[in-house]
Amino acid sequence: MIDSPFVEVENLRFSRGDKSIFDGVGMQVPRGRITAIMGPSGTGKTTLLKLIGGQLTPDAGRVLIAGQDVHALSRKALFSLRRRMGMLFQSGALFSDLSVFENVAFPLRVHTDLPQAMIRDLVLMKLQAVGLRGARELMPAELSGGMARRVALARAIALDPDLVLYDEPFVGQDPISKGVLVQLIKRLNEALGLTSIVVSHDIQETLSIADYVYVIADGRVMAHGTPDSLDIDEDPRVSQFVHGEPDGPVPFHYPAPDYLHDILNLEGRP
Amino acid sequence: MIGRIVRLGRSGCDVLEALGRAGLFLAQSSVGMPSREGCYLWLRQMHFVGVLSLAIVLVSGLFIGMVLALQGYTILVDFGAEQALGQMVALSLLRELSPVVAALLFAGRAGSALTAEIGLMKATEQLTSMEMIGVDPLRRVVAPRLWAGFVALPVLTVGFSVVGVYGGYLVGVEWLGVFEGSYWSSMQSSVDFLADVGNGMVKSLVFALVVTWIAVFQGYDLVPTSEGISRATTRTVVYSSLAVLGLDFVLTAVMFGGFS
Amino acid sequence: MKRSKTMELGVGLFMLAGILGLLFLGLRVSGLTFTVPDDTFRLEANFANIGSLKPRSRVTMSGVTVGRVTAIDLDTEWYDARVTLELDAELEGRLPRDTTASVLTSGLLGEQYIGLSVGGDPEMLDDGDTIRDTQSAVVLEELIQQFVSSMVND
Repeated sequence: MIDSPFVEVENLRFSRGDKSIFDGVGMQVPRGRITAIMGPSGTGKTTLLKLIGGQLTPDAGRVLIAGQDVHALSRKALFSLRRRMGMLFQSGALFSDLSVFENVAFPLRVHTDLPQAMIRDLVLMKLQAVGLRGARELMPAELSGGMARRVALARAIALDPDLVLYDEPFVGQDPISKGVLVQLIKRLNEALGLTSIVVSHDIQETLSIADYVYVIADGRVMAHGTPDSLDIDEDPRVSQFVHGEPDGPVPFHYPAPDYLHDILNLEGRP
Repeated sequence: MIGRIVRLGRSGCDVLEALGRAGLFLAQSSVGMPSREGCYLWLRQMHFVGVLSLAIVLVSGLFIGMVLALQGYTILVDFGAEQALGQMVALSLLRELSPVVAALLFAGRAGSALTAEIGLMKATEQLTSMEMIGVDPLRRVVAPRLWAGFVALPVLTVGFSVVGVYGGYLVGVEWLGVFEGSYWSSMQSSVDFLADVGNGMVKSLVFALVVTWIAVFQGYDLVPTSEGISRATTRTVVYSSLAVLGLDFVLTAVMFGGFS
Repeated sequence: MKRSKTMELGVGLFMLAGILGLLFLGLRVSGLTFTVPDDTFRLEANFANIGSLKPRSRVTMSGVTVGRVTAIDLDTEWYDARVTLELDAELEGRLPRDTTASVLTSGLLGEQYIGLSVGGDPEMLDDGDTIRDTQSAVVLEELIQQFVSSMVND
């Protein structure tokens, strides 16, 4: 059910130094749905989010958000487009010199002229949604990792954005926090009608909430489809990833010379 | 041979590129009308780089003035010219020592802290998330620090001079017994406000710009790892010290070297 | 954002201290005075040699500072130094026409300044007049030369 894609990625190419990271990636993110981008570590999923958010510029290809080409916008237009986007960073990225309350209030203060009382109400609403209304006086250094990520989520949705980008929301969380975050992402998506892009390699959690899944590896889209159709996909790389097999088409070993050769050190290497 | 020339050319390109980036960075972050919020952020940075650096700068100034008076006295007394002590202390402080030593202390105390702070903000993705919220970190994070450094260092330099002159007075007049009147009058007859105090201030403004610029740029441009932050902090202190000393020579040559 | 009064006060005091410090450097260290230009009048004096006299050197009378040197130029007609003096207005019209101006040195190696000593002429110097009677700076080499030649003559 792909109606009017909100984000379109067309034939994206990107390389860092001599290393090609994306080689013709294309995807369509439907409006109001949770789209997951999955793949093994080191395939540049975070880079893809940065390309979508306009922080990096691709070598070729386009990213369209609501019909606007992100990388053709002026700096000013890009910043105003970003007001309609929220991003949840892997580390939370809370401003360490501001309290929890001020962190959530930050986007409201810089982008709106709302009176103090209204900002307070809005911030408390967002904090209530993530269950941390009681923690508003704490500083980011006093929060646990899971709490920091929930505060960051509250901040990401402070301006009621149209699009929220989640960068590895489940990584390094205990099962309880993971469950909480899964519930939050799902609930917020339904309640606010957000379009969500979740980048993750946590298969179970991601598949349980995603409406549509893209699997990327080796710089291209390996498979895409709904979570149900993904399991039965024939591609060996995808099935290795989904089933979590240690070795297969995605090799366990980093490219290296022949083991026997290396261990006998026939070439006199260090 | 060809390979070496190629490498030389490439490193030349790298240096030029870094300079260009730093220049663009300075232009983007320093130009623009400050907002109310910006004024407050500036105030906070003034507190951090200015007020909190005051103690170390003033104490150093006092000691340097005292040492100058002591050393100057032992030399001048050989010529029977200890009346010129005030002149010697004031001129060496105003023209050279205050701007240079205050800038070096500032680079160590405030510059390295600025680099580490901005670097850590970058490493923890605070700058990126600010950008994603739609706030330009150049305006919000870098600009207040840049302007605070630019204003704070000249003020610190003035403080350094004042305390240094007083330190010279303590040692020269109170301890070594130079006649008080000649301490001040030799100073007043030889120090010219525009040529000495003014040029010292110009030096200080130049150093302030260069040191703060290096500090914030190193912080903004570093590799966001713990090693990257420690390297960038070291680079801030090394580059700003070298830049201050080198620019001091150039400025002295232009101001006092008789090229006018 | 929480505003801290003590911090604002701290920065305010810091800036104020900077301004006061600059004032100290201006008044106490470089000896600037807030005298209105009307309070002075100008005299000129030609010297054959001014030694190391500089603009802003003191002009004294019986050891009391009564003015400053404002400009030193070369008089291309006579090839000597024309020194412009700025003196306190209270001396205007009270210095006799035969006042002597000499370039003196404070101490053996100290700065050079101009000493004025009055004569007995009934006519007085006015603004812009030239002091006729001047004594040049004592140049150490000339002094030694005179001393040596007088020794030889004895």
